[in-house]
Amino acid sequence: MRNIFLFGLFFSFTVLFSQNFVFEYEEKFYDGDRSVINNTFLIGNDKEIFYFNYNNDKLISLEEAFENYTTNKSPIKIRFSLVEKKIYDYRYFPENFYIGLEDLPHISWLIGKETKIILGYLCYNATTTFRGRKYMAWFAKEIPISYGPWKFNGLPGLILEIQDSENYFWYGIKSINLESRLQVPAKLSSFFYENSKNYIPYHELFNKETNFLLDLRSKVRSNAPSGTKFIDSDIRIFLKEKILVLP
Amino acid sequence: MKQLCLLFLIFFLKISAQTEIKGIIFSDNNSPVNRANIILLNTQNEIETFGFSDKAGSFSVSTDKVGKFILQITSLNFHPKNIEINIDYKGRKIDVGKIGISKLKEHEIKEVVITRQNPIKIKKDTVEYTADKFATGTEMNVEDLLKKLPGVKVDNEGKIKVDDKEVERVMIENDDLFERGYQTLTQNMPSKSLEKVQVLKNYSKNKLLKNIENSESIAINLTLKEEAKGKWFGNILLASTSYKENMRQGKLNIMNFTKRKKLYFLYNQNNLGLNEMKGVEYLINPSSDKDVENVGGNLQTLSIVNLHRKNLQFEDNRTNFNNDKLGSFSYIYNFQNNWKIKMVSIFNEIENRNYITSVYKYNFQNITFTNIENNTWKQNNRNIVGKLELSKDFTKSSNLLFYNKTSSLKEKNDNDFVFNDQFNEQYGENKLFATESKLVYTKKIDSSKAIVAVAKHLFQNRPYNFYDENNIFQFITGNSDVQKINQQIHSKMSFAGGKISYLKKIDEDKNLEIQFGNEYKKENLSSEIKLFNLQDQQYLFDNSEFINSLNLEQNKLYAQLKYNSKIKKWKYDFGLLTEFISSKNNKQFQKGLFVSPNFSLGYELGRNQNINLFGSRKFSETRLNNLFQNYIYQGNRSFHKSNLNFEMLPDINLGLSYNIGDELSKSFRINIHYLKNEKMIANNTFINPNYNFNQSILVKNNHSFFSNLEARKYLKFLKSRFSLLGNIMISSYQNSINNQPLIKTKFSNYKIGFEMKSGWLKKINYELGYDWTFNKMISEINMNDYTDHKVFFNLYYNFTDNFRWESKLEYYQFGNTSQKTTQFLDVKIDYILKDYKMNLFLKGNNLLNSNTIQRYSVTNVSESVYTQRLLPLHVVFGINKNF
Repeated sequence: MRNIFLFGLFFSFTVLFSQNFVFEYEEKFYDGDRSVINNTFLIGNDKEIFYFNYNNDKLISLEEAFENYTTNKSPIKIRFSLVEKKIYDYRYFPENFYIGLEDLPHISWLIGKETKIILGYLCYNATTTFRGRKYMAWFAKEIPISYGPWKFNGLPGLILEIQDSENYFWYGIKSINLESRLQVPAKLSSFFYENSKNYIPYHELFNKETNFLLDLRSKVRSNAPSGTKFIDSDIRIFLKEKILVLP
Repeated sequence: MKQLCLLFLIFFLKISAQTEIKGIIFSDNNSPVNRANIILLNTQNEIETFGFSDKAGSFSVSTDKVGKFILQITSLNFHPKNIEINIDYKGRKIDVGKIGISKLKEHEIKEVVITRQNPIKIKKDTVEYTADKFATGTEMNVEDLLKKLPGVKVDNEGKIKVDDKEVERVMIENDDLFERGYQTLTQNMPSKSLEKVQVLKNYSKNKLLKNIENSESIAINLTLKEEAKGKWFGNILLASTSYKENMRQGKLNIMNFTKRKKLYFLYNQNNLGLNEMKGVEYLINPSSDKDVENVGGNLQTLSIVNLHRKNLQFEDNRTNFNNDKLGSFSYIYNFQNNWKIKMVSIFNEIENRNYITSVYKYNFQNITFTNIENNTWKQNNRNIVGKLELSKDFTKSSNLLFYNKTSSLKEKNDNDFVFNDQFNEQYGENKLFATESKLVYTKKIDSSKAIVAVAKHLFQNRPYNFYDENNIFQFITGNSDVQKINQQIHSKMSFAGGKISYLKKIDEDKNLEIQFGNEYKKENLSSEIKLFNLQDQQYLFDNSEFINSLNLEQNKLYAQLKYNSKIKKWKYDFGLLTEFISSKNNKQFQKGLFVSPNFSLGYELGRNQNINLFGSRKFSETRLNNLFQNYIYQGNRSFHKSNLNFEMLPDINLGLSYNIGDELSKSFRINIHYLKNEKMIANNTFINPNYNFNQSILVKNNHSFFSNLEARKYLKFLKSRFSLLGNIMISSYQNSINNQPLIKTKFSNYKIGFEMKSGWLKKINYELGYDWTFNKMISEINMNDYTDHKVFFNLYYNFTDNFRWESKLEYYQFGNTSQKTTQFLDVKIDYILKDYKMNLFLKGNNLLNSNTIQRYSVTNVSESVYTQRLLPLHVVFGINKNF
């Protein structure tokens, strides 16, 4: 009986001090080679939010999966510092990895008249153009969190579904948990604190990425059979951010 | 300045026409609430506008509408709050003042997880591209569009690779018109009619075997835009040199596709040395049939004599003096009741001429002589092929396919030979009639098991009739009147076979296949030589040595087991074929049981590091062309007969391949292959300055060894790839001269070279390569060696996306010839007129006007130098237009 009491106390303690919202999304995109589905999470509170992918292949409980989380199985790692109003975005290159720092981007949304129900929530549609792509989002004003998958933000409610006009990217909600005992995987949060030496301004990261892709294109061309003709396409055609306009 | 003022005024007016609603949000404990959502809803519950509170809790939202509204304030962990707002005129300023929102009580916070399954699912093995997203308007055809898709490469000949794996077929609306000859479609179909390109991985042609058979094939399916369905489209190409050279090319492709019906007509003609048959060769020599859906593996048409010599050392467009015409018609219709009919017919007429001068030096046991020949080979071919295919899906678990293919070939040869200044003529006619029928029934038992039954019948009839005007038989018969030889040959083959296969997918990485089959084959061959004098009077002689009548019957009953599996880093493949073969060769009976095992073993040593070991023992049978016991004149002063009986020839194969590294940056791969022929067919030659007699004999234990390696590195400072290439080939063979003991000969060929290719993203790009080949022959009686060099340099320049330059420079030096070097320069300029859906091109071939090329070859008793005539310099101007 006493144990149960203690347990109850502990329980209420955790509920009180470390409640997070946890939203699970499915992120489908075309990476230039094949279609990829990532299981992603948006987890956080009013101070900081993390967006990361983690494919739970073993189908164990989320608690266990979060405990077993390793950063190298999670190429998508984004930290939102709501206090600093900054985004920390991770990117891997063969020679090194970087964390790009940018101000929380201001996204101007146009809210439409259409609505639909997703997971029981009435969702309003909204459109925007962000970094070279047109998007249409469905958000639930009943969930007063003005974020969504990836870097999307600025709507008066959580984005439950969003896709680009070319159909390269699609994000959809899988589960909603407004009050969760789940914690941000310790390895994920410490990853951002421990690697401050790898911080660079986001536009530098963006250029590095473009140059890396140009170099890769050169490599592919130089390795093709003799006489192969290539026709150019936009180098960032399959990346989430096609362009980056510096503020 | 005035305008600017006006702009400000309008801006100001617009602002002032807006109603601003502001306020401050506080929580229970009187602290401001940051980032609360402020939403202004109209009476229809639509969102008019929204905003967020700042650190101080204050907010401001604006609207230009009037009426009744609800201001909704929400924030995480707070109860939402609704405030009614009434805007009676525009431009009002409404201050709602301090608004308190209350925190949710802890007991109201429930950990509720709501989940759903997402509606979008990726089809596991399909990648789909929307054509318009990749099209930039400069594409002339489907091939140009495919080149833009990531991971897709198209080589010079139009073969498509996806992730370095060759695409097996390209379908249109799920119908396959051209099988392996898909270039016809991809190079001629305008791309603008395409809706989607689907890349299908782990593709099974027979859709019932999808995910049951172990398939790594890749196919592409093209879907059409709705408005393109049922429309006629196609392209036309016309190209010509000036009147003087009189060389031309014409191509016409017309097509019409609907979901149900597909129609394709093409006509090609050229005398530029281009082989138009490439696109339809799949139909004449099919090999793409998957193992389970085919029976009778070794049914190629035999060539008993070959009256034409094609030059294989050099590309067609350098040496092929031709005049080719090809027409083809394909049609597919899908009936509503799941029947499908497919018809393909091809008609072609080809003329090939090949000019070779050769000097042949013989030297063996103090007999030496030199023959100088000046030969013109000319062949006219007429092919007619028709194929009718019917298929039906009965249910979702069974289907039936039947086809009949009938072909008729007529080949006329008219060769002029000058043998040591003596003129000889040769006329020959060769016909081939073949008809083949096949029936395949597939039954899918469940999602992991299937049965495929196949039956096939084949009949071939091949008569030859040819005249040779020369003096050989004057030496053989001793009669100087004999001037003409006539030889008639008749060969026939009938085949009937059936096979049943059981396929089982044990799990994701394990497949099992069991086959039982029986094949019966009957072949006949008869030949006879007659001699005539110049007045066409027959000269009777004892031709018993020049008459053949051969009947070969063979029955093969077999069982085969195949198993493959992947366990972690290991990959296994095993096969076991057991055959019971009985044969009757003229009246001799033979039978025997033959067991042929094979294996392949792969291991992943690490990321980008693999090793593969494979081996097999198998038997090949002697076929009709190695069994006739009396001489058949092969043309060109050579006779052939066999001293063999029906034999099964065993061989052992062992191989190893290893690769390491990332293909794009740095990699190394090596293949080693060893072959031992326990029994092999060799030659015993009776040589005479004027003619020779060859006899097939059986030799034992011949060895061959091949190896090739490639080291690749991407040089970042040059943005170029550098490859070091090596090749080793060592083979031994045995032959006999004049019935003497066997002579052992070892032939080795070492090739070393490099290749560079730029990956520049600017206008210019190059390709460069050099290789040396060291050839050496050592026999018990003599030895010889020589070195060949080859250099190439290709330069590409894109003036604009529509205007391209391509030049190819080649340099050859062949050892032991009097010709020091040969150079070629070819240039192509291509200009695309986007608005007219056409391109103009100018091709300059052999601009350095090299007339001949010389090559050297060697055997243990002879040396030869060949001089090959080349297509002279010509400049072609052409137009290619889509409609």
